[in-house]
Amino acid sequence: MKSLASLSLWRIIILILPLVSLGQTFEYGWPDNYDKPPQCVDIPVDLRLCQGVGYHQMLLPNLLEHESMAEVKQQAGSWVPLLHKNCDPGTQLLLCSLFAPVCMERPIYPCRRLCENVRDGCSPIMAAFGFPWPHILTCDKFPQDDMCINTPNDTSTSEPNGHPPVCPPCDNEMKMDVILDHMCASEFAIKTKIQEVKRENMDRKVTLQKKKRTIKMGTLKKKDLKKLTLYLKNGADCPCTQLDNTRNTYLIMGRKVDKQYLLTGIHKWDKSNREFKKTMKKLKSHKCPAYENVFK
Amino acid sequence: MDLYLVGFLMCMWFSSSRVLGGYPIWWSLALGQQYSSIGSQPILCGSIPGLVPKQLRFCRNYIEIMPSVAEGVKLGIQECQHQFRGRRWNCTTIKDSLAIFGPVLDKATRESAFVHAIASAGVAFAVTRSCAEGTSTMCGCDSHHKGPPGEGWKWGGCSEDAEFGVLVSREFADARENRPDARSAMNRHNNEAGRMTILENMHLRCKCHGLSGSCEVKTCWWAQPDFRLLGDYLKDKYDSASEMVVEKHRESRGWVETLRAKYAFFKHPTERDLVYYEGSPNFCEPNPETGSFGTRDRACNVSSHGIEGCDLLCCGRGHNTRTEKRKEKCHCIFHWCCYVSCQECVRVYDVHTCK
Repeated sequence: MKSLASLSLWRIIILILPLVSLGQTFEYGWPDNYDKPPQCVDIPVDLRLCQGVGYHQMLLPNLLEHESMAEVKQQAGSWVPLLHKNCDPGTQLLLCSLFAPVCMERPIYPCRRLCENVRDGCSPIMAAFGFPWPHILTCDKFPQDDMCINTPNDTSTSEPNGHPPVCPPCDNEMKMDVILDHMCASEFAIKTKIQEVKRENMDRKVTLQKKKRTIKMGTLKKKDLKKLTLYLKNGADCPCTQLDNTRNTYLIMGRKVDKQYLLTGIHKWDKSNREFKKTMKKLKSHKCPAYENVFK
Repeated sequence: MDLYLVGFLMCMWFSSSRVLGGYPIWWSLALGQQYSSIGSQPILCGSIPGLVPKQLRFCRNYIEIMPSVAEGVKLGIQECQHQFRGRRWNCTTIKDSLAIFGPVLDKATRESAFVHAIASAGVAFAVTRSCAEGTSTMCGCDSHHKGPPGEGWKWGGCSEDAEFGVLVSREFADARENRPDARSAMNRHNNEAGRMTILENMHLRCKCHGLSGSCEVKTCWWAQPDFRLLGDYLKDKYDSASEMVVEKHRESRGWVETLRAKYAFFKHPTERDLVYYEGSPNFCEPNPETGSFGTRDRACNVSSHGIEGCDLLCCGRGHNTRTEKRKEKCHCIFHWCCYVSCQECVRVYDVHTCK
């Protein structure tokens, strides 16, 4: 069985680089400029990405040039769903070493090897959701010496278990915070049944039944909703029990990437499940992080 | 109270008339720690030496901004010392003196032109930055000059209001440069050149903060350049400064001195260029009258043929070489979580100093 890593990745969107490049060469010690040095602050309880990372204080501004804690929280929030995928043991450490860097006399960056391990383990999953590996996490810019952050017990290779990996959008625990995180990472969510599932190249094409109820409209338009077809990106061969069972009603999430609609989450609509019922109730009052608010 | 102030100012005027004529005494703001404090004790405008009445009024009316003015002068001096670190004159300051550069800036030299420009730019820069940081209630982000956003990004963040910083710098630094003599005209010109450097190097700074750091959501704002870039720019202007001659004209208010380019076939100076009209002293030998400290015992670069090389910096007198052993941290390792352990290494350096 081919692993996800060996599958060809969906082509990467060419990112418009910001005018102020984030890819500058890192040097030890603060750069030779007149900016004020970062402050040492407690990691807030609601910075969920970095709870339990192994230290309790962080530098602000962080190593991604986020200048306020509101900005850190807002940007870190979109990475929380990736943590739940458990695609690499070093995921939280890599992300938090940049989002909530340890307080030292000089900045400590993640090691290049840590970054490469996380990238190799997680970028196929990110691609399945339509996200390329971002420029802010380019591994080439991180150090390779001993003055960097690695996983504490760095074993060379973990033994692969016998089970083939589940399609990432189908690997969904019935937990409220997981579903809410996926809801925020998706552009739209609908309640519907599956009409047809068909292989198409490396993807699986999911045709939905005509009868739909919109849970979250997002950027979706009414005319698009009628004949909505979703793609399970790079999901031709991975198992997905939800798609095998077309008689059930599902909560289906997705987002638009270029001209395709990608399936980003699929949960069985199970009113008898207490967690699911609690989630749908919570959904009405739950607010996803609004990106423009940080800069208003 | 008012009588005391009048008396104080009169004493300053008569006893330091020579210094007041050409020297911005208020630059000593940069060295006095008491002037920079915000919370511990308020700035006493009357205790700042060398303020002319207009500056005194400014200080009292805009007391909130004065810490930024002090910070700006400090910034300018730091940058001056960086830019001239390998030069014969290296922007040395004199402790415990109100004329913090000594008599070297009394003359209308190229060095004086640079210091005026960098100090003026420093004040504008520091005031602009403190406004953006929100430390003052009388200024903030620049909400004008917005215009339509570009393709794929929106206005956001805090656009720095450099116009306000320049206004403060102009009001304060030029307040004492309203005399009709040539030196006053030169100082006004060079102060303005320093300020223009900031306005012309404002740039759009952007951040991508969409999902997973993508550029789906991108916000931009106007930002000042790093002050190091301003220093580099003004240093180039120093190297290409225009020499002037003094002309006297009879006007309704009496004799007025203006500056004219000395060499007509050279390019005339623009408002962005630095100008001077007196030659610089020889900085090779110590001379208390000119304010030169000389280059004896200065560290020099033996492998360089530039101005910081031993041949030029030592003015042909030669150099001494000694070895220096320095203990340094080496082989540092970061341990989880979280501390750094280093070994201690001894490295041997060759140190070359001017004879």
